[in-house]
Amino acid sequence: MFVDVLLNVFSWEVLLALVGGVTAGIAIGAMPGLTSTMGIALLMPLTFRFEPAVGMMLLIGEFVGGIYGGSITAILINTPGTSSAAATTLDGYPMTKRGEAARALGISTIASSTGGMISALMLIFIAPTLASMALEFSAPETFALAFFGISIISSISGKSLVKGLLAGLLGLMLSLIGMDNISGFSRFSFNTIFLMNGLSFIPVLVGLFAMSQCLLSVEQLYNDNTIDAKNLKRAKISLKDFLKILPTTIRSGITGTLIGIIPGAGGDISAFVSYDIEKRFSKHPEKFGTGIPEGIAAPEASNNGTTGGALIPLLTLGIPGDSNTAVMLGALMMHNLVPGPQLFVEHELTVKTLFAGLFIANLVMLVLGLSNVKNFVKIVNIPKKVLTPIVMVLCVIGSFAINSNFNDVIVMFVFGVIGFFLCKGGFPLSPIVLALILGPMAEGNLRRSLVMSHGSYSIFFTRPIAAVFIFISIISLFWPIVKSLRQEHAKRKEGR
Amino acid sequence: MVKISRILSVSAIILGLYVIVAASQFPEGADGVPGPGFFPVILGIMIILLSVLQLFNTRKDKDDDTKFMNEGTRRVLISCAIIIGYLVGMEVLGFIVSTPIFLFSIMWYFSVRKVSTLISIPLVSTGILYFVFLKFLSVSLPTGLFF
Repeated sequence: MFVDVLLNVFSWEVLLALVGGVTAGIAIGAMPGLTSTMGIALLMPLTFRFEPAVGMMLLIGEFVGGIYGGSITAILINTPGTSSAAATTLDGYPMTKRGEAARALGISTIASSTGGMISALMLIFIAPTLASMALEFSAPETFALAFFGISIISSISGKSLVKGLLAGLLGLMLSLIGMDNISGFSRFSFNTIFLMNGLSFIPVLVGLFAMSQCLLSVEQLYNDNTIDAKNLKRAKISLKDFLKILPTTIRSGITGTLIGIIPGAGGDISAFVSYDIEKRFSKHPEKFGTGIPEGIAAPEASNNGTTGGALIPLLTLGIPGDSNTAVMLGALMMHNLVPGPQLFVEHELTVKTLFAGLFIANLVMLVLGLSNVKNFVKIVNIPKKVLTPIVMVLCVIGSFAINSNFNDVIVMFVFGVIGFFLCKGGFPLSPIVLALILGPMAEGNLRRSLVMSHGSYSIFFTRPIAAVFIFISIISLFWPIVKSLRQEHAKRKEGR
Repeated sequence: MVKISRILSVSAIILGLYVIVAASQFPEGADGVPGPGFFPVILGIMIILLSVLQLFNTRKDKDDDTKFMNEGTRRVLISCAIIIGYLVGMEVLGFIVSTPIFLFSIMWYFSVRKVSTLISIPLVSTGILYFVFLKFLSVSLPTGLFF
């Protein structure tokens, strides 16, 4: 098996896909306004004609590169290219202001790839164990798991619980469109054949994550971020710096992976958590924020750590950990690889190749990041008014390519507009997509469980695993409410 | 000016009502197993409850004052109109003809005035996309009545 995996990974197609994916990822991640989710959604149509392993490598490379790429603009111009690099600005930009941009970039590159490699190793060890446990699951457990996924994602993504829940409910609502897979009754399809099969997933994704971003950047059209990089040649890293950040990097990589496993918690959260941990346990916490190496290494190792973490629930349970892996779920389905415990039995070689690919993607990123920063900076300087129209055309191609159906393009555009207004209103978008995936899983298994139990709901509470997941979901839904009530109570006490 | 999240909440309430009305006419389940209408009705009720809650939150929340219309939003709406024109045009003219026209016109609207950019970007990018997708990856592109 080990030799087969090596042969698979070191074929020229796979390596080319990894290099291409990481390059595209870094460029897209570095550009403020283009997110790694958008990049994956747009690259997806490219992968249809490839072997599943090759196509997935492209997306994994993009994922890894996209999370890292955000740090380039965070360090150079104090604007995170992706939200997960927001914490990197805290120490990255002060270092640039001291004239040490090359050093800051070097530290972020080495920390990102080390964090990513740690998470790949953790993925390799944790995922198969979890998958073999999940093999025992039947309908009630699967329902509980889907319910858990939807509730935790809605409650932790975004600032407002109500908005997150509404977004999740909207996604569930959309998942109802089409033929009901138990009774065969057609719901909300308005008697059109196109909607009878349900909304296609990919056009909705491309609309929500790529088209809506285009519209958002149209709104901010004339606020271009240009980087003056005449003096910047390449990223540098000294042995002294490397040894200094190594403990921070390892701790943050592990923290990042563990946070990445939790559905809904992505790189943005883990980066701030790790930054906070390092600051708290540092001998000189007051230096954080002034441009110290640990302050760059902690968030960067942590956000790249989430990559492997987010893949764990995706591959083992079929529950994506964030919006990036939600798009990858769509891609896996396109290749007839249904994520879940069965994947580890039926497609063991492909799964292991993906694991190895994630590790190598981080090595590729290390090389590209250390040698080519100058070229990525040039791409960031392409003005929005030229780039945005081209991305819009890519959205059209991406949504059309799957079924060659023009209605999909219309669906994409409609969801682009919806996504734009939801973003403006402060609604998180990832619960919509996750609910769209998990909705049918929840509903189908709920009804199947009730068939098993002849209509009795006790089936969800007498089976321990199902009961635990339902219990955690209910707590995650009500905890924010309890917390806000307690805060108000405390305030009133103080006022008295 | 109306706050954007208020408009969204009200539309969500209308959506919830519609779903409940429509789903209550779906066939019923048997033997205590819920039918196809069960899930939608519950979702509809939850959406309405949360939207009402959100309406109250919007009133209290002072940071949440994103207004519906400003210069940026207007630019977005006009861009949407151009995109709709592009999509309609694509059904008649096909991808290869409508795309350069779209890129030229939307860049013009975004006040790109450099002649070399206005001509080279639409032609070169359409050409690259055509070859990469249609010839190299054999992904089909939208065709019109003639092309």
